[in-house]
Amino acid sequence: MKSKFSFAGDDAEISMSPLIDCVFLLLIFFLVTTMLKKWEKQIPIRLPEMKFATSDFSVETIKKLAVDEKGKFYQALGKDESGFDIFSPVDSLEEICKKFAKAKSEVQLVVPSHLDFQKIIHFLDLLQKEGLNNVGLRLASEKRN
Amino acid sequence: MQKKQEKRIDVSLPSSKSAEKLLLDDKQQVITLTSAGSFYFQGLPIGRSSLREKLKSLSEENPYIRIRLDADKQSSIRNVAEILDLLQFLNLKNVGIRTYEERS
Repeated sequence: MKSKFSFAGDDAEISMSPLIDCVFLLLIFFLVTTMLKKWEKQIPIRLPEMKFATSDFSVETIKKLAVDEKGKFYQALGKDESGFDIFSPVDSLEEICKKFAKAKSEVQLVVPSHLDFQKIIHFLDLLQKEGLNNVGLRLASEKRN
Repeated sequence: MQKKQEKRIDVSLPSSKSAEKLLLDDKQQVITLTSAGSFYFQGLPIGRSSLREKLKSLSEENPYIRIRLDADKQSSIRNVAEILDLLQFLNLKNVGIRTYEERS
C-alpha cells in the first residue's frame, strides 16, 4: 500500500526564523516590563516616646557621654553645685562602651549643636561599632560668654 | 513603561557604616534638608509652617507612613533635630535617615 504522506528525505528541516522571532519578542517583552528591585541605605531612627510627669523612668539613670568636635569623648561623672554635669575625658571608649552595653544602660550622647550632620553620624557609628545600639542624642547649648 | 520625572536637589548624603540596606518604598514621603538649611518635601521647596501642616495631615491619614529624611552631610544638626522633633511631636515614628551608598 502506498503511504499518503510523502517525506522529502534528507532535505526535511524545521524553519528556525519564526522561533527566533518569538524568542526575541519574549525577551523584549520581559526587558520592558521587568521592574528591578531598588535598594537604598538608611539609618532607622527610633524616636523617643512622649513622656510627661507620669514617666517612671528617671533621667538620672541615663549614662551620659559627650564628644567635642575633635572627636574626644567624655563621661559624665556627676553634677556640680549648679546642677550642671561634670565631664571627665574617657581613656578607652571601647571599655566604657562595653560596660554600658553589658549593663544595658540607656546612653545619651551630648554633642555640640554647631557640628555638621556627618560628624554626628560618625560619632554614632563609633558607638555602634563598640556595641552601643541604643543611643539618644542631646544637643549641647552654645557657651555663653 | 513611562519614564518617571525626577526632581533633583543638590544634596550630598552622609556616609555611615551602620546604615541598613532597605527595599525602596514607593509610598514613602521624602523630606530633604540642604546644607543651606532649606527644606523640601517630595522634591518641592517648602517652608517650615507648610511642612508642619503637610506632616500633620499625613499623620492623621496614616501615622505609620514611612518618612525618609535626606539631609545634606554639611547640614546643621540643629535643623535635623528640628525635623525629628516635629516628626516625634506629630507621632510619625516610621523614620529613616538616608545615607550615601558606596558602590563596591
